[in-house]
Amino acid sequence: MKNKHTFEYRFPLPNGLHARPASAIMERVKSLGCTVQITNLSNQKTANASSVLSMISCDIALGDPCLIVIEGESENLAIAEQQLLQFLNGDFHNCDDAVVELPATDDKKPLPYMLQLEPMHSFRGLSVSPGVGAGKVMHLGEPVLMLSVDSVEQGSIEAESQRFAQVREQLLAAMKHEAQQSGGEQQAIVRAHLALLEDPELVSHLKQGLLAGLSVLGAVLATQHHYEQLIAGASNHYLRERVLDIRDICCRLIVTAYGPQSFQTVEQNLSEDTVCIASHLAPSQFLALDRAHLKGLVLESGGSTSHTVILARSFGIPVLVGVEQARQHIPAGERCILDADNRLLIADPSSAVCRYYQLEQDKLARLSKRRQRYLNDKAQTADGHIIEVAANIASAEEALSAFANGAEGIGLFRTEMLYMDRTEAPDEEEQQAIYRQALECGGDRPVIIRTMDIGGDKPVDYFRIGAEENPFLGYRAVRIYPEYLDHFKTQLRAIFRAAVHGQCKIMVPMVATMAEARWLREISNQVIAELAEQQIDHNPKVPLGMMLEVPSCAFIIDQLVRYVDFFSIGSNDLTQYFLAADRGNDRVDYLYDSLNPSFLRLLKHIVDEVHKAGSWVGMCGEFAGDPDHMPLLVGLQLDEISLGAPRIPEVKEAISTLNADACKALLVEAISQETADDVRALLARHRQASANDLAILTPETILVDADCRNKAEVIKTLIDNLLVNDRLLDVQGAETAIWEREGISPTMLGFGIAIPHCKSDSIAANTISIMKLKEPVLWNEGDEMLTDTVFMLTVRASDAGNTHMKIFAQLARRIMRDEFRTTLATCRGQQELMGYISQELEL
Amino acid sequence: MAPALNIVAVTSCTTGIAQTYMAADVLERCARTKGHAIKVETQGALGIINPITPSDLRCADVVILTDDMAIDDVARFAGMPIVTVTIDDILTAPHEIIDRLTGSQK
Repeated sequence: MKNKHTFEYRFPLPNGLHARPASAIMERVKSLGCTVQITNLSNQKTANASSVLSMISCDIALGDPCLIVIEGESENLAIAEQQLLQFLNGDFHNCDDAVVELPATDDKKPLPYMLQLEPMHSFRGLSVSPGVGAGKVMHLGEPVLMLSVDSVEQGSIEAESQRFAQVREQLLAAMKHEAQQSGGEQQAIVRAHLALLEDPELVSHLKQGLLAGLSVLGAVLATQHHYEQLIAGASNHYLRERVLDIRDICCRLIVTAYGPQSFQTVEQNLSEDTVCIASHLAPSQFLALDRAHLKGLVLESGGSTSHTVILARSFGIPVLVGVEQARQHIPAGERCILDADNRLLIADPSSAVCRYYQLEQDKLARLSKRRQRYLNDKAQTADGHIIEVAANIASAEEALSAFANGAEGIGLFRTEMLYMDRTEAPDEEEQQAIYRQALECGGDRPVIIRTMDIGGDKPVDYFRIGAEENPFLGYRAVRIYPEYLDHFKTQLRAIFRAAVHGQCKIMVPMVATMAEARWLREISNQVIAELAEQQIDHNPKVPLGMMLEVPSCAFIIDQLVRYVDFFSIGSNDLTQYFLAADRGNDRVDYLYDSLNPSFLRLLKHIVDEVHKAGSWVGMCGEFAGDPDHMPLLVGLQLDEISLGAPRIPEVKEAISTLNADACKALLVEAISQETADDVRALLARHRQASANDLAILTPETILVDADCRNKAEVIKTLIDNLLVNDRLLDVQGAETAIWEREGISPTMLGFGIAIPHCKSDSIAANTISIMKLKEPVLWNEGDEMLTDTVFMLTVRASDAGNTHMKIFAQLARRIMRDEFRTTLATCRGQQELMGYISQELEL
Repeated sequence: MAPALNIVAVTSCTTGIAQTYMAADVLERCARTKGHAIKVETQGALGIINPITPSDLRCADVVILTDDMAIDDVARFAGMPIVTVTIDDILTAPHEIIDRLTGSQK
């Protein structure tokens, strides 16, 4: 005799009841010999526990109350129920551990406070190109079905049904094999997919399609569509993403039935603001994307110095890499924000999250306005020391935007891109036209064209270099030129010919020995002689330089100058060769640090040697692209630095605040430090010292009529204002310090006044900030007191006891007095507030 | 009318840049309005300001100490009536604190 037992249960699953835990339940229920039904009491959807899909469709989220009905033969029922309860309250809790761990790299840097407060569906990755972008998600390399229901051959109902049964058996066997072969996370996913393929609902839906006269293809597509619709309505993000599991299974069924040609991978066109997600992306694929609409790029794999990344950086497109399985987590078409500065990919952002990014954008707009003048002004230190700031480019088109961004020259035109992703090398005419375009764009500004750096991480098919055990130490760049002499000569001819159109220089990568330098000069002379003989228009007086990226060269500079006219330090390769740390290997990348004092000593030695030999030296690696490094680069007395164009105004501004002699002294101090972190700390102290002279209160630190909607926005706006006025070393550190203080007890005093404050290493200049709000906000959680006036006091940690402290103390006392507050309330504009408070505090 | 008291107090807050001084100011004005004599020592970012001397202690009737941060040299108040409050108590309800003192002295 059959009987029923019921009990209530709440699933302890942070991601809700999705495929993996559902398949665990299905497995357990199978062995009970009973039927089990689960009803989600929050939406009244009921599922059969023998079907994973049916359980997923119930949309059960963490904490939803559920009614579980177990039905079976009376004599077994009690035992079965006990076993089920034992399972649900025991092992079941562990079935979802791995999924909760969303793909994340190290989380040392906390999120900005406003984002911490917001629930977000987000993923972390490794930021390799800074910036923030928003748009619709597009998956690149998404398989595109090449078959259509009309085009595939279709047999009788029996034939198609039989075919499906075969296909399913074959795929089941293959997946079971995979499940055996794999381990960990991958195995769990394969098992979840297997459970789908065995799911009675899914199978019955497919069979219904076949019985209705559909082909295998038609039935699979119909079933896929059915479940996509069903799951797309789920409230939980994690469940919605399971659409991809269904698609994956359907895709595999189709491939098993019709062969691998069923799908083709094609590029898509971008028609609106888009964030592209791909496993990896070739430079040519990247360049084919419309950059007007490309707002960000997410690569599931890929290193930080791949060519695509370098390209993206030069175009100012934010990039995150290492966001594992991003395409499985975020469906195409969903809105997202890519915040490479916080290593964040946010799917379907809430309005509060969007508001944060709006404030960020306002801040950046103010910063770029502040730096506007550096688009035209040349870089020089406060005491008039000149250092040329040039741009790195990888295509002639980029030259225009580089010069528009304030580049004083092109310090590195990488030419290997011209050779990549094609079947034969570009000919002399094609190259000549490209170089000419960049040179004409430069006018009287120098353009350094680097000859092809092929091999290593930049393979090109028609150069038969082959796989090498250690490509970075192998056959690449100048080392392949003797074998591919025709190619090299063609490139030189193209450059010498183009050189009549501008200020051209040639630079050769990876030179390691005098023999190479001598050979280069000989070949160069030969090419010039040939051009002269053929009476082809060219400029024979093009300076010939070399990259300084192999450490051996540091010790033969006095000899190298016999054959080369200038040098440019390639800091990326030089660092990795010098410290013997592969920059693409994340297990040793802690060693790959250009601030290592030993590396700084090497740089100083190089620059001193070059200048002693009467030659010229620049730097074109990533080390030169960070404004924080400018004191060291100026201290080194480099003649030029070359970097990605987007950061040029910021770098020029950083240089303008420096004093060359102080930088030289700082460099001497830096090379006597023991670690790269010591050097970083030294640089921070140097910046702090330079902010010493700023007044504690200025009209710029007073904000009136501020449009902030809550406390978090008030604090962010005030902190951002400090940054824009160059009073901070570190936004995040300052914001954290303010919030930590608020965490002890909120700083709302009553009278509508709040005084957030902190003492922190992140502050560059002691500051009183004042904000009068347009609309009051709630300051303390849990009460109803409104704040419309905010005094923020930000103090350097090292400054206890100085005169600024007296001013802070005096202000604190004033705020407690009625007459001060009454007068304050009547002050309207910035100037009026400034005047009254200065007078009260005797500033 | 409650008898006039000689009050000594020490204020000290977490960061020592704002509330130490706010609380001192409030206590001073509140006590004086009520006819008491008061001296408030601040222990903040400026170090110790307006220190309470042994002679202050000799004529003091009662001590107010804040407990947000450890107070330097508490030992000097040993044996005296001590009222311990938080900075927030002072900022939100100074009158109650002073009134409580006179209540306890009755």
